[in-house]
Amino acid sequence: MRVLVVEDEPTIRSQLCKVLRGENYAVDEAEDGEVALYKVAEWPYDLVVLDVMMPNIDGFEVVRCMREKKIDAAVLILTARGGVEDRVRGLDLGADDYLKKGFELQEFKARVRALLRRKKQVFKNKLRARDVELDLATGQVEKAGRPVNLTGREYAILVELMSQPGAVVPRHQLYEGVVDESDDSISNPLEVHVCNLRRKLGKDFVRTFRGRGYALNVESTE
Amino acid sequence: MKPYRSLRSQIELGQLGLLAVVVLVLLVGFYIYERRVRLENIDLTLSVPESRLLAAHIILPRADARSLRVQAVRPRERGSAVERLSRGSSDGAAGVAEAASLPWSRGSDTPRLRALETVELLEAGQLYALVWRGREGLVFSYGVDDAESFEKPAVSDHGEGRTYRWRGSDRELIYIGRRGETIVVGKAGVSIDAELATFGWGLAGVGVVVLLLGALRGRVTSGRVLRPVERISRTARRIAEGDLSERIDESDTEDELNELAKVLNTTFARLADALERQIKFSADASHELLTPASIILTECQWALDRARELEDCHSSFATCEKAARHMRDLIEALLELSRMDAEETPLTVAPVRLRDLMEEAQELLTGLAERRGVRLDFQVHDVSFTADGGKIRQVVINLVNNAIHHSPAEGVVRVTGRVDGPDVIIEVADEGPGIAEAEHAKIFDRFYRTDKARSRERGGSGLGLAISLVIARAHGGDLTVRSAPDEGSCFILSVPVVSKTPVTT
Repeated sequence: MRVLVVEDEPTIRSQLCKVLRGENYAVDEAEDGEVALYKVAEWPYDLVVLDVMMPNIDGFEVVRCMREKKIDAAVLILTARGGVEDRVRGLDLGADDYLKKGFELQEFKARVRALLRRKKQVFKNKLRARDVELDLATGQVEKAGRPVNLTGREYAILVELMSQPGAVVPRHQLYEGVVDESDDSISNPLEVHVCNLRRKLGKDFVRTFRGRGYALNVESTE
Repeated sequence: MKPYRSLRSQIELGQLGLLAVVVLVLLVGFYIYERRVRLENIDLTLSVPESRLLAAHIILPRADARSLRVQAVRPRERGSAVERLSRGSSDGAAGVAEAASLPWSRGSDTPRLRALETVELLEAGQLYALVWRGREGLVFSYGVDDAESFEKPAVSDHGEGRTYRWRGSDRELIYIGRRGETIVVGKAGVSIDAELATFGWGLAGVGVVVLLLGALRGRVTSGRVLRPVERISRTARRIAEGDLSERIDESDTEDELNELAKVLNTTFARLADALERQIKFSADASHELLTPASIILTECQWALDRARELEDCHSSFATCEKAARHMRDLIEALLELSRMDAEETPLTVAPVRLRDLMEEAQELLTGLAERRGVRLDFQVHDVSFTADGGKIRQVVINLVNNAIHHSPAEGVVRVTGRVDGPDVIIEVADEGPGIAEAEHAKIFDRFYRTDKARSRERGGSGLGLAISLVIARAHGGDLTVRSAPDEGSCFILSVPVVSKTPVTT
């Protein structure tokens, strides 16, 4: 899951990034509307967390341009003043949800999850494939009722695969949804993470489709 | 609560009351005058026969008695004597004198004849008359049913000479001579008031009509005068109900009320403006406070969410500390502003040496300037002035602080202090990007930021210049800016030198 945080106040921006990365999302950041518009055009974000009050190009303008360019990332706007007109305006321009600043972190995370579920067409927090269960709300993964310890990256790949069980997820999509701009490219390649997942969840849990991508092996072959 | 008293009805009632008094006085006066004239006319009709009777019964018999011998010397015609008497009758005394002076002229006139003429007069005037003469008692009476019982007017009541009196509804002229001769000529059943009743009612009718016209006129006039007042009050009520954009229509003709409307409109506009500023200020202030508050909240919730590394906790505390400090600065600035606005903190004015003040400021700012690679250049004349030194220093620090932050690396911030005429002038100039003309006025507005992102990074409250301006104004001075894009900015603080004493070192 790839998220863009657009916020001009640096402290808040880095906080939001920190929080979202803690949830194992791949998070990019933009300090103003201009950068945001560039990035949304460049990367297939699942969600854009967007501050409204920004100099030059404000949040409303960003949403408007995004929708005009048919960029379908979910948009969560953060309003400072929280007036009804602001919220209505944002939603009417194409935002999917709003949150007033000074929010509770729990609520923020829940709203992000909700928006991402809708975006991925997943309708509940608990994902199941074979005997593996993944809880989006808690970030817990269990195999046959026993908790499995995954790294953030492994978890992110698993979420991508489990949100469309059986389907082949292209490598680049997996990569983009898992690796954000803060990662240096020298870090472990995708194969290493997939290999680790196989080790932890079962050798045939993830199948490789050479030249296409990866998919969950939904039917048990054992 | 005072009862509601309509200004309009007060004006109208006042006017009407005044009109009523005037009309009443005029009409009553007219009535009294008319009544007197009529009475005088009646009295006149009484005095003619009286003088005849006087002549016939009192003067002539005496004269006749004295001049019986010359009685026939100069005979005279009867008619002329009647004429003469009637002519002189308006003045009783003259008549008496004339009659007395011409005893001989009445040779042919017998008292009887003269009495006869008098009777005609009395009959014509429907009068009655009685004459008493000395010891003889009642010698003549006419028109009185019971003459013997008619009470002779007493000298003690009326005195000598002519008097008029009312006896019931009878009007009587009474003459009492020196020897007790008494004449009474009267007219029975005189009722002037009854005669005047119609006249009086007529007058009252006229009065009522005049009053009605006056009331109508007053109503029309006061209505016209008060219509703008009603309009003003209606508009003011709408404004009081919360529609601050409402204004009184000033398109009427120029008059005092239109002036009032203009004054009120100006006041309303200023109030609305002040309110709007206040609302904006409150909104800005809460927004500015919300930012650090939400930073702290998010940071704490993140740190408490699960077990964190020591390093992460450290950085969380650092973030919280920074946000809290920012919040504290903001709150302090807000408090200071509101105190200055409410004039709660009077200036502690004392003689200040400009050079000392500037040195303190320089000392505090050197560290920051060095870190930012900016050179400070202070050139201060050695003068003293009277001001709140702490506050002025605060302004200087604020201005220099801004200048340092807007200076490019290797830039120079020039601070000069001097006395120019009645003012101490402190200038702080930087080599920064400058400020566009359009923003010159706005930069002193509370929470106005020329470059939002940059001032956020250095954590300014956005109130520094606003506070500085308030301080300058409190001293009776001013704070202005001289700047153009790419030419740097120069802030000029001028404070009056209340007492200036050159310090010799």
